[in-house]
Amino acid sequence: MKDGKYSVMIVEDQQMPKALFSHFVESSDKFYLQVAIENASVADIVCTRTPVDLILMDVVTENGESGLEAAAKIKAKFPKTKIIIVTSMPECSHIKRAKQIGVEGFWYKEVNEQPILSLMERVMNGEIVYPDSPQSVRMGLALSTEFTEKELEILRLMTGGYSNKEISEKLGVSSGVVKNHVADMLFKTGFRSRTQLAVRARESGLVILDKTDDEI
Amino acid sequence: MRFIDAPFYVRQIIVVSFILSFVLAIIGLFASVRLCKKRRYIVLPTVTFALSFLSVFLTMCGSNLYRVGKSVFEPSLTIISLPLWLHCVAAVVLLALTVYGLVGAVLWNKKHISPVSIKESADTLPAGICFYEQSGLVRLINTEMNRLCVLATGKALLDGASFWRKISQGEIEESCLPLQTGEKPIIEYEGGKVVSFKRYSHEIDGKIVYEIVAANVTERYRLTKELEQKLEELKAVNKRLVAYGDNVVLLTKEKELLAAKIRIHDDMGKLLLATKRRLAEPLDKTEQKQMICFWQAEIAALKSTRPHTKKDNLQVIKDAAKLVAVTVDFCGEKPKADTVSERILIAAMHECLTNTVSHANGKTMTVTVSEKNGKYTIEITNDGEKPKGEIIEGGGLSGLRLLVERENGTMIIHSAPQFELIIELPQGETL
Repeated sequence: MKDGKYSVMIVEDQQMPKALFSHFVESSDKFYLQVAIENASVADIVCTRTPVDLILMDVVTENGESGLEAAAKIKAKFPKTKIIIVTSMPECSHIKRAKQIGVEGFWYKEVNEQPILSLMERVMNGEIVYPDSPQSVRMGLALSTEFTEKELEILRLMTGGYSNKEISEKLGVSSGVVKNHVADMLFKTGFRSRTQLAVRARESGLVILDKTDDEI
Repeated sequence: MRFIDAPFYVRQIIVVSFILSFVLAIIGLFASVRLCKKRRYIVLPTVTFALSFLSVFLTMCGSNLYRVGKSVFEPSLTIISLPLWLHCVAAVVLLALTVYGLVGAVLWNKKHISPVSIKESADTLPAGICFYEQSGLVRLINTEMNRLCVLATGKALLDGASFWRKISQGEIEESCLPLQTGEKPIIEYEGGKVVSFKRYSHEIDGKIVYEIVAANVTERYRLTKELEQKLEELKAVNKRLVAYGDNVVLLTKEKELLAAKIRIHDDMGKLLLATKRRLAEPLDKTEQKQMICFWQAEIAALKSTRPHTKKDNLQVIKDAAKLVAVTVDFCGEKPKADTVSERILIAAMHECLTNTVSHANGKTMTVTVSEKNGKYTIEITNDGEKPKGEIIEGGGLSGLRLLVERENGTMIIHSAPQFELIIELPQGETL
């Protein structure tokens, strides 16, 4: 804290949101901008020099570096630093992962009507602020909230170009189970092929496959 | 009345019935030998054959010789002297037995399989089948297999071993196409028919007998080819999908950027019109300041839409070092992007930079990379405070060690005279 204001670090690679968040923070009387960086992988290094009170962390940053992984590292080293994950992608596993890491807030950039500043104040007051449900996107005739967790897992792997057999090996289920889930999703959405389903899922950001996890 | 005393036509009838029995016995014996091939089924026809032969010989000879007054063979005389009714009974019984034997043989044949029936049934199979011995001698072949052999080799199937060798090696007529050779040959015949051949071996009575089966797989082959083509198309679609997935974030960002630029362009247009109108009248300081603020905001927004160039990972670390007031002194050649060496170098620099800031309070971190003796070497040190004791590897350094050792490299940390991290990696790995 400095002069009664909380220090904020913004981790965001897109210039417009970064400029917008910087503007919000600088115009507030409760926060000041300590630093704004574009790559989440070095966020912990910056915190080492001067610990910050609050981080606004984008989920996918420069060079595809994961904000969630950086948040996990920072929470391990600097547990007092509060983190709000911000994203425009409706990928549902992000909220789950954020809760596992123990970040204090989660915010959808475009959809959420609540101003970011009010969210930051609530988090600094000790609240844990998460959306009631994941952001919903339209998938053909269905909404993304109509998919089960297993279906979303399968959909995520489909966007990586994996066959049903490969998906079944990764998830530890039979390929018949995978086929049934794919058929259910096609029925719900009205799409004619799994390719159409995968393209729409990727385009909407409903599921994002983390290839590095996949390779390890 | 004795047989010999009976009227001539009566004796003729009895003799004719014996002759008929004899003829039927011959046919019955022949049929049972040919069809039944079992001793118990041949006994009756043999007995009836013998009896009917004796009956015919003894009665006919005896009757003729007695009639002309010549001496008759003793057994013959005995037979012709028997009562007439006995001869009648014998004739009827013998005829019945021969008919029974003949009918029995025919009925047995209908209820049992004979070698002929095996051949007949084999010939009716739509598939080709052939049995041959180790020497190549063909024991059983049906017409379909013979026809396939003639079409494929130009000759009838007389040597099974030679036929198998030819089709398994693809040595066939030009009108046929060997789609697959080896243990399961597949041949496409003229007209598009596809036949698959398989060979089995059996041990029968201590001898090895081979069986070749030829099945028509035309439809299955066509569907397999169709499936292979669809899989290739699917792989291509998958590849495009993966490439799309890799690029979609970039494409989405570019789309958003374009939308933002269009918005800013429209806003600037409106601002230009408003500014022109306002400049037509004198503006006081407050109004001037307000106009300037509007323009500053628009220009700032416009600047933020400038295309963002991707930084390499080494530059990212160097920029992060600047933020924490540490200079990175890099000596040596940068490793290629997306290689194991680059990944480990960045991870090592990350850990050492964190330690330089948090423990050593250093201002400069020196990184030296070199390639010598077939190894890629990374040496990192800093100008900060010397470590107070032996360095205990925390989560970061332990994670780095695992990464290095997974790539068959070595990692050494010196605590004295100053902190130094040395990593050696075998050359040549890429991610």
